[in-house]
Amino acid sequence: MKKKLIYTTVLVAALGLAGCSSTSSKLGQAGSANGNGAHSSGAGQLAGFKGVDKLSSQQRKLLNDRTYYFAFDSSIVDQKDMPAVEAQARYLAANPNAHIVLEGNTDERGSREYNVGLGERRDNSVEQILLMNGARKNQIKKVSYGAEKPAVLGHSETAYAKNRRVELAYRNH
Amino acid sequence: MSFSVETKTSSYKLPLILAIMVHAILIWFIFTNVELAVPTPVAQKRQKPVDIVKAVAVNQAQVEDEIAKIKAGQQQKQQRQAAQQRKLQKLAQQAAQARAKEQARLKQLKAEQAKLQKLQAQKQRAAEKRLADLKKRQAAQQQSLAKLEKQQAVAATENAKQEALAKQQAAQAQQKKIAQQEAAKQAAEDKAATQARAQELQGVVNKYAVMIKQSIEQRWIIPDNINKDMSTKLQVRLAPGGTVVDVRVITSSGDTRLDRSARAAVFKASPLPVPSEPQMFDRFRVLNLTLRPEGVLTSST
Amino acid sequence: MIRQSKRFLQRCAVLSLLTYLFLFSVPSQAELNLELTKGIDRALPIAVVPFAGQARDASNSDTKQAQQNIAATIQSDLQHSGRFKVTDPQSIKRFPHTADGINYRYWQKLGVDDIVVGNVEPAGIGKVKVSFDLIDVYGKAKTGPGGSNYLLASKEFVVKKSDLRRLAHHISDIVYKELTGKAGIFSTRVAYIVVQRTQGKPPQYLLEVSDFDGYDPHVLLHSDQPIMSPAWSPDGKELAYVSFEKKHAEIYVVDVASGKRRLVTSYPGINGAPAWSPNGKQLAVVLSKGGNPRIYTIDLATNKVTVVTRGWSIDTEPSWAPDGKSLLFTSDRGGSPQIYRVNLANGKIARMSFNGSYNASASFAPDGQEIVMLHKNGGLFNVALQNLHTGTFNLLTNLGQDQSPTMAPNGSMVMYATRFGGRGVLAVASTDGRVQMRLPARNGDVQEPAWSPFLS
Repeated sequence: MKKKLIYTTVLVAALGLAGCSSTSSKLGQAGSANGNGAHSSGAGQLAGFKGVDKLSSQQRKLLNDRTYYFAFDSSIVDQKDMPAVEAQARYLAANPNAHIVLEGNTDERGSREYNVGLGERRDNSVEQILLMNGARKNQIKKVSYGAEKPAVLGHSETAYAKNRRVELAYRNH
Repeated sequence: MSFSVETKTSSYKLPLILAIMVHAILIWFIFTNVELAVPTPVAQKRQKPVDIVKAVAVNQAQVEDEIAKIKAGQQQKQQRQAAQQRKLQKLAQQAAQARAKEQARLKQLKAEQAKLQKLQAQKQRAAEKRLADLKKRQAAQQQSLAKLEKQQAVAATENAKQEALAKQQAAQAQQKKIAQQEAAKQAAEDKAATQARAQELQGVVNKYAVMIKQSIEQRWIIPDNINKDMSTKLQVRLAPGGTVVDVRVITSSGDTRLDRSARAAVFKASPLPVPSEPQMFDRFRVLNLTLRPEGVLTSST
Repeated sequence: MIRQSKRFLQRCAVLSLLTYLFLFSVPSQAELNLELTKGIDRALPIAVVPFAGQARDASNSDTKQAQQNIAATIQSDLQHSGRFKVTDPQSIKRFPHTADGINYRYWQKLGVDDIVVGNVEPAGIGKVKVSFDLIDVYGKAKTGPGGSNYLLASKEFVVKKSDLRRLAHHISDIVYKELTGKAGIFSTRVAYIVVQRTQGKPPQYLLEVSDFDGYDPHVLLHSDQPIMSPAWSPDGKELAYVSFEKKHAEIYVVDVASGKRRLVTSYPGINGAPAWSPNGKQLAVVLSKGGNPRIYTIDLATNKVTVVTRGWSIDTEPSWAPDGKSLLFTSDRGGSPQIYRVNLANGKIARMSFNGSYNASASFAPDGQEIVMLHKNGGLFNVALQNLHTGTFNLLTNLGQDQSPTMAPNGSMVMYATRFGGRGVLAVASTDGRVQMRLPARNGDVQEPAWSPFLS
């Protein structure tokens, strides 16, 4: 139990470091490129014959993708983010002592309190996928910041698109 | 346009009461006049019988004198006396006949007079109906009436002479008739003239009234949060040229903000557009304004 | 006899005719009666004369002395109310300081209806005596019974020098009330959030309170996590707000004077959008402890929580009707965010907004006849005013990046957050559309204004 916790912490720290070293948009593109392969379980098994290292690096890439983007006034998880969310779910399922926080965010436009509601709805969408893929409810905490914590400052659609997001963060429980 | 021109009543209480009284008296007289004029028999009964009896009495005294003489002459010439008596009787008869004749003539005169009176009353009533237009006619009538009165006074002094009276009355009637005809004719002419002039005057008044109204409304800042049913009544005095000399709040709206906004608007509109002709301007010396904030002019910003 | 009566008759006739003539000839000299039913809708022209004992021109400086300049503050207050057209101080060439000896013609020619004059003189250590008169420059002429006096207000105060600006706001309130018939809001305050973002540092969040015009700010809370949704208690003594200081949302109530605060709710998920009931005994809030955001009421004496709305929509931003019997709220139960009203007695819900696909952040005007809201049209967010009886719907702002409308307690103005010069600022629009103005910029992004109730 303790071993596992330490392992998890180390892994999370490593993943966090990896996450910091590359931009989230690049990770998103990577996720999308591998999306179809990851989505099909047969493809995963085939890849297994090619070598453990490559699989683990692909897995690592997916686990590093912890920011999921949304359209305006929408809380539907984008298809391209599904493999990454599912990867997090599998990790949570495999590591019952791992805990995460989902932080829902919106762009700055519109009502701030409605945006808090919208951010929470985005949290809920991600949570649903996690739960369907083996994560447990007590592993997940949700908080919605609405428009209060923009990832990118600016008032262009590009900036807005980067702010409509759910951030998944591992935390100590 | 919703402005109107009317008579201000409050400061004419006395004349108004007078007018009502005069009307009442007039109406009473119109009716009593008719009553007096119609029953001509009353006038016939009068007949001046006293005068006529008196005339006869003088004749009888003569007759008695004659009789006394005859008695004193020891009843001489009784036949002559009888003849004389017959003659006297005839004389008396003739006198009576003359009297009757005179009476008939008088009757006729009276009837004419009554008729005239009746006619006059009718015409007066007719005239009263058109009184608003009868300024000049009344003046003429007044003149002729005064003349007639004078004539009547002269006639009264000749009370004893019935013929003169009758003549006088006939002349009077005719004069009256002529005067009335002339008056009526002139009244008709005057009526048309005054109507035309009144219309012209009213047109000018209306034109300037509209300009005044607009001039003030364009400067009247309706206060915020005001009750649209309230109104302020102002009395405005103007100097020739339209300069606002004085604005008095005659009836407050109850909200001093509305009263003040109305006053300020009038002062700001000074000088107000008024006719330059002095007689025309007289109509604009005092303006009674009622300001009621029903709506907002939609042009300006 | 007969002749005499006849003559009398004739005389009467003549007299009556003359009387008629007299009566009918009267109109030619009569007064004209006119009825005026329309006027203009315009700001009242007023001049605020620099007070004797103070600088005559304090408009272009931001010093403390300038802030304490009474005439300058009154000018600013009245101008920004939208109800007044304040004469440019530069064009004032006469400087009376009392109603005595006023040259009325001068002020009439200057085009003003009313003037404010006053005097400031020392009155002991650190104190000053301030007097002022409000004068109707058309009021001096005869007014007749029921007419107005030229002196509309005349008062005298002894205050601390540091209170001069507050006193100026108070005088503005008196002038405003006298001339518009409504209570002024110049002594009210505003609560808002400031976000300070410095390169390389986490943003700082501040809950502040200032005068309604942005002056004299005081920090009530400083946090490195977001603060949201300040809401005034009806007595103006407390503020409720949302803080994320513990990395999740909680609702607190803070005493404005002392800064002491207490936690009200800390449920899992959303704790948001607090709104005080008109009697100050309840808070309407948004909690998502039931799965999704719903409106609840909390009895502040017992902490008893009652759910008001149900369903799977986002229900948020409750706002009490002035009578306390219903709440406005934002909900996307119809597919997009719109304004709804819930009757607290029977739970019945009615949709209130029908213009466009996005309406939110609604609140009642003090008379309950109108609601102000955030309205999206195309890609632009503006503040709109909807009349509940006539159904008229007017945009009050046009900047396109507007948020968080909050109405002044007299209903005459709406404050909102917008962007200007690359930062978040507060701005004010009069509800009649006459005036738009920005509050002085702060060091940071200013957002979520909340206008206080009347404070005195």
